[in-house]
Amino acid sequence: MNLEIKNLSHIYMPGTAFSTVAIKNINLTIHSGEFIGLIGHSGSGKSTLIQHLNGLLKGTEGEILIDGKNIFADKGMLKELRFKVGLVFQYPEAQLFEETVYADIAFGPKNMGLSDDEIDKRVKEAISLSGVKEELLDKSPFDLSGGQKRRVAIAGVLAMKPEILILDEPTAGLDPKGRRSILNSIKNLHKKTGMTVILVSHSMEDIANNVERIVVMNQGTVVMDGTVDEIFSNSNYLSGIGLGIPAVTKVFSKLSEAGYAVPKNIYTVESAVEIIKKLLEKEVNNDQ
Amino acid sequence: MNNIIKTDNLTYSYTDNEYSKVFENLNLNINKGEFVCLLGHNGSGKSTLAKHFNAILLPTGGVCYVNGIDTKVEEKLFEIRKNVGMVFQNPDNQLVATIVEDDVAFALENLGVEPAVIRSRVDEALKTVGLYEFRKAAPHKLSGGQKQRVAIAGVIALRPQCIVLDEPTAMLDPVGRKEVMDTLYRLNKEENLTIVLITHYMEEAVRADRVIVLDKGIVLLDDCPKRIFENVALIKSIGLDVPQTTELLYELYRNGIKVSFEKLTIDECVDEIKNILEEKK
Repeated sequence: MNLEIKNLSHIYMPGTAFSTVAIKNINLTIHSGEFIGLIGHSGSGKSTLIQHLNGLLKGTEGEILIDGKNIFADKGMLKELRFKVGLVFQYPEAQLFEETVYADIAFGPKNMGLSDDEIDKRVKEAISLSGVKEELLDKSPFDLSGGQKRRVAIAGVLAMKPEILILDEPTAGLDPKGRRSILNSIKNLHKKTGMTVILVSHSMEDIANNVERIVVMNQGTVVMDGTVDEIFSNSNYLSGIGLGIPAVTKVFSKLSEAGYAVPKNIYTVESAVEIIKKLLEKEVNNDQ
Repeated sequence: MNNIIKTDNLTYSYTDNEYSKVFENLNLNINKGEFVCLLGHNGSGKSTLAKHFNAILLPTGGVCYVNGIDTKVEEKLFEIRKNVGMVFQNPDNQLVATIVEDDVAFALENLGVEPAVIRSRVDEALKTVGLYEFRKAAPHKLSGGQKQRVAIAGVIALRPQCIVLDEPTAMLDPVGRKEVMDTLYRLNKEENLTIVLITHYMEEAVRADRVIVLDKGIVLLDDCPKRIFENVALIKSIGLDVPQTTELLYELYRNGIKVSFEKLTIDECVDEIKNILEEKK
């Protein structure tokens, strides 16, 4: 399922004194199976943009096309879209409401009109993908830890088997271990199911190790769109628009400025170690 | 008396169950003027501990002293809260008024401070956090970082000796995080305010005077940041991280390259790498 965003703009409260342009003239194509990182500082328009992708917001101008068809073409289309594009909001644990974890995850598939057997199958699949332990299913979602609650909320969306999964800052407020483990689950999920995943974050570190393509937003527009390598080679620009650059990227950009022959697009500790090892070996060889 | 906060065999349990103690016999001193970072994974007892520092929670065993006062003494509650202020994670949950300066004045008004004094304290507090020009703004129109600074201003208007902040930057973007951190370091250095900062961001702990690592309700490590982050393997084993700079140097060290990995800031890390590259030449 390909998703096309064409000339999309959104103005909040148009025609009033409070009129605010949240996004303007966005053009993007999201291909089936892609793993995309959407980054930008608070207020850059990320959350507004993603709410258009399953029709929660309707653009003031422009359109969203799914496999070439406008999502607002007819009502049936929109209903189908909501099942196909799963949106996990910020702090999704705040939306848990059922008496048991099972019932909460089953809520979506139930509303899709699926049979009890199918619902059961989907709940089990969803928890294994999102890393919720089976013994938690009968518990109240409110007795779980923050990280577990978040996984339950994600499972609730996965149980609808969306073709596109959008997660708005899924790691905010978690400790480092929780952050790593949620990101790993999402990465594995993408690998296993081939689902299109859009990960919204303002942490470049979170995104660097996981996604294939990065879309950078600033002041309501898309300012960059490319591979992780392409985006990270502009680290000065990225910090200029308020994004958090991984510390190793900063270190390498400083080394490069100081005249050392190192690439600037380094963003993981592993690749940094490799580069430095190679440099050291080279120096030794030159001596011989 | 040099300490502002002192715990003496502090024990706390949310229920009567003997086995559900968050911590037991915890002994800790926070000295006046210190910038202390409290690290630990979710559920390690950080927030529970912090809530003892201004008597939101009272110990089920042992004693917690604020400025030498036992927090259990009810008549002293106002004095304790005046000395130790708290700032929480969610900026939207702690602002009450519809105008920034009203919010900062809220606690002073409740304490019955004279209007003229309130005026000067509010102005001073807003200037300190760099939001004086926003004094007439509506809090909901501010960014997350600005809202947290309003919350901090509300606390410093009471002229406390210590501020305890429970993950004040968790919901902020990098710019907002930097604003809040710069404000805290300035308050510490210039106003000699004691800061106790709970955080999950290891890079925020780098500039602290002292880092305390809590795990399963015990103080696992208590030292300066450099000594703390040397324990890379231990820190990772309890679900925390070290700053990426330390991790890079540590990985080089594990690859047989002679580096000292007690370097924390970006510049220190750059210099260390320059050194090893130069040495080989």
